[in-house]
Amino acid sequence: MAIVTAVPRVVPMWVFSRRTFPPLVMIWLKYIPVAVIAAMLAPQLLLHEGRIDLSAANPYFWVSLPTFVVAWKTKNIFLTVAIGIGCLAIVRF
Amino acid sequence: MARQIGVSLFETIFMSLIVYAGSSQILAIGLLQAGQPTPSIVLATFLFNLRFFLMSTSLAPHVAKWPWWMRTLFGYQVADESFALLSVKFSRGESHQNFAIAVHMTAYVAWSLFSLIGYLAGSLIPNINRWGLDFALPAVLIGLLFCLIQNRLMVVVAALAAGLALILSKYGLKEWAVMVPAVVAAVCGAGVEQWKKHHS
Repeated sequence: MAIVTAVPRVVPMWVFSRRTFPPLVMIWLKYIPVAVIAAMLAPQLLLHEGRIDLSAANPYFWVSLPTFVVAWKTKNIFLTVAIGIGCLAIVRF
Repeated sequence: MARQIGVSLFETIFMSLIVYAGSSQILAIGLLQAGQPTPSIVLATFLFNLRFFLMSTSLAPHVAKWPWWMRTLFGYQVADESFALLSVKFSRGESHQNFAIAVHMTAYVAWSLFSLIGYLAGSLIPNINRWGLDFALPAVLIGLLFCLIQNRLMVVVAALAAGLALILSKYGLKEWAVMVPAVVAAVCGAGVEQWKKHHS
């Protein structure tokens, strides 16, 4: 388990740090963080028990809407998290 | 969670220290619970962790000047949330070595410490979700996502990655649902940016 989680993380640090990438690869890498985060988020927010659920049974989706607005307007992570948690607590209450 | 299916305290902490991959640990507990054989758990974990390959590759140019042992340790501690945070910092040119190491170390120590607390307290707090705390991680990712988005093309890339991730997850390919969408969406983003350059 340790090996399969460490190898994908450590090997790029050895192999790719010492080389300079061609410009197109650098442009590609610039998009990786945004793409990775979006790919991690979407299923968490939209899938509920294995399918896309935008009903009241999936509060994550509804709570994410005000959270998105706060994140977009303020770019403040702490405020975003506070609003997100607060909204979910209110919805569940 | 570990406690509920009879994993010992020592095993839980050991796993947090050595494997250090929250989603993988939760995945492994789930597969153990489902009675899956060990090799398939390890394979699923490997596929699931291929996304770190992308994250490490993306961070690597920023730490190129560090000595190799530091890069090794740094790579070992790459995690979803710290990756997102450091991407924001690096993209703003605030790439202080001490800060980056501090982020990773704090996350590592906190993870192990809270595994311990979680294991011990798991039975004391009946329903932590009632307070909305389970939304902390998605909310952090949402906040970081908006800090990273610099232009419209990035919004499109994010939407594309999100859509692909949804489709893959929905059809049971959860292990691939970060790696594949991220690569494809980033290729499209880079392609469009390059195309625009040549036509402007």
